[in-house]
Amino acid sequence: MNEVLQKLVMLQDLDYLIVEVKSKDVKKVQKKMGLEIKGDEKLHDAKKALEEAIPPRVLSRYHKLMERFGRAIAPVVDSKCMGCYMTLPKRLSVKELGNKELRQCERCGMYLYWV
Amino acid sequence: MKQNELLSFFHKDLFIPELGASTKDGALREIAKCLESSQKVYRASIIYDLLKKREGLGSTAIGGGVAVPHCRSIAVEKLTVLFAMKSKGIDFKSADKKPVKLLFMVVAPPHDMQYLVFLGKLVELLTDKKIKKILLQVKSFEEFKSLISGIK
Repeated sequence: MNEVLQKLVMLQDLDYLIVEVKSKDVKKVQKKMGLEIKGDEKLHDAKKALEEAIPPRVLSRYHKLMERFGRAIAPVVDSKCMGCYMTLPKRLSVKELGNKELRQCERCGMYLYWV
Repeated sequence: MKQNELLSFFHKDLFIPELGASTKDGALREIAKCLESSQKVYRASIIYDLLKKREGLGSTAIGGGVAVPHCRSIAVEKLTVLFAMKSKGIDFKSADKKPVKLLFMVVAPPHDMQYLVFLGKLVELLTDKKIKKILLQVKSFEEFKSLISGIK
């Protein structure tokens, strides 16, 4: 798997986790489960470390996409970009090939990740 | 969410009757690896890393020997649940200090609407002492399924 793509996936997951730990609904369920979330500053440290490991040009694009669409990586399911539902070219229908390189959807521009 | 609906998220290839790992970190690694080998995720390390970060915010052990490690990730296509057991128990830094013998891992895509509902329902079931006692004796996935579907 492309190393930068893996870091981008981890960064987006982390961004969602940061939002989630602040959500009221999540807090309510966590409380019901008897769980307490604390120390989310660790997540910000982890985010910073990940961002430093991503090439600046890619990171800048990631932030722009997050700002615009609320996500920067689109999963690919059944050869379709789940960001815009465009069917991808046949040569990208195998996930081993797809995830080998950092690719963007030709229509919506999101980074593609073959689930 | 009814029992049968809850049960529909469990799959035989995501059932580990006895974890090999004996530490929290090892258990998270093993369940993430199981997701990869059953082709539910492309890379185990993505889920392992996220579960570990979630544990870093506070243990997901809910007491009474049960833990529910959970996270949202784009690495899964749909709500994915794994059930694992460890007869000797694992130290999950639980508030009641009890070793964890039943592990339910829940991973969902970022915008999955069933994630919180599922977690709530699962925890509701797992706080029942009778159910927990029977679950600890489960030896196969079929046994687990018939137990859950028999709960009223």
